[in-house]
Amino acid sequence: MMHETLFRETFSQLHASDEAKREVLSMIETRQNRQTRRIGRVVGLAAALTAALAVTAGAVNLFTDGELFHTFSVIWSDGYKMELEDEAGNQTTAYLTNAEVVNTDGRVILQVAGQEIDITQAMEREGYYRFEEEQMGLVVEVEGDTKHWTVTQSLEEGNISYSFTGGSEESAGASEIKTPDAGAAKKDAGDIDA
Amino acid sequence: MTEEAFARAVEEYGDTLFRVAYSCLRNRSDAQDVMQETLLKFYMEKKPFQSPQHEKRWLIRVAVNESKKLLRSAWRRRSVPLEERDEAVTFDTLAQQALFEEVMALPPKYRLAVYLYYYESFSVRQIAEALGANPSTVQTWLMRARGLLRESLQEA
Repeated sequence: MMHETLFRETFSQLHASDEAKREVLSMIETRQNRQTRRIGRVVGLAAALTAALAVTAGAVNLFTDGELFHTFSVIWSDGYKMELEDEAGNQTTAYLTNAEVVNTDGRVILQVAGQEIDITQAMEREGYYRFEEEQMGLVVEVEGDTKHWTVTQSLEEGNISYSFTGGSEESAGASEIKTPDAGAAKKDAGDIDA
Repeated sequence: MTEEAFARAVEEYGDTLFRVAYSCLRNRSDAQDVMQETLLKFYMEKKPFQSPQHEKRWLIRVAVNESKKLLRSAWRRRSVPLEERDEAVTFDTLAQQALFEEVMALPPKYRLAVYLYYYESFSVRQIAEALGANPSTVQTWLMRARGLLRESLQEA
């Protein structure tokens, strides 16, 4: 039987450093200062870009509505949200909408926006799960069953809609970017440069 | 959220989030990174919490997810040596040292379940929610962890 008092006494001696706590406070201050001079827009960033971003780690070309490619530097990131700045000092926010569905120990898990959601029950009963994130305008829909599924991500930003479709290995589909002007332009995920 | 409110949250939850992350990652530097990322997410969270307990459970769930994400990352798998645990943790007694070492020798999911159950006084259902597992699975993890600890602490 576990000696609970000993357990508590032991683990109460684990502390984060004061420096780490001060750092996180200063991150907020820096962030607030940045927000006062921000003029940027919110840009949706495709899941397909994520892998390439990890490689370039510093400068990234984003697919934007104004021009085909635009170069930004990553000045802050928390893993799925990034603060970006271009050469002129214009700042903007990008979200990594990297929704992914995995099968872990027989459970179907949706990984999205820093969360892991067990959707097994919904897939068994309904064959469908819908995730919505209002701030990002992100909608993720999973259709299929617990072994085969299709994931569709939609990101609304102004009059632009980005939509990506993928799935389990057996039902993997292509990625798709839709804009009102250009219509639908099908691309394989690997074709999108960053 | 005001800066003052955030500073209070850092003070109130910083160590808890660090312990959760350390229980998963066994590395001080990574655990502090997870603590910071979790607190930044808390700062940016727009939805109100129903109660302080709800707030704490949300924070712990995010810390668990961030830790698991880090544990899975290819970069960490390549860069962290087999002996992850740093030497910075010291204890008042040998019994504490032995218990800590044996808990840290358990698989990550057992360590987290044991920590949440015995330190944070989470119920099995709350642990299941935090770890994204079935309550019956958590019950099994706890039972196996107790068995492993009983054996190893008797040998020590």
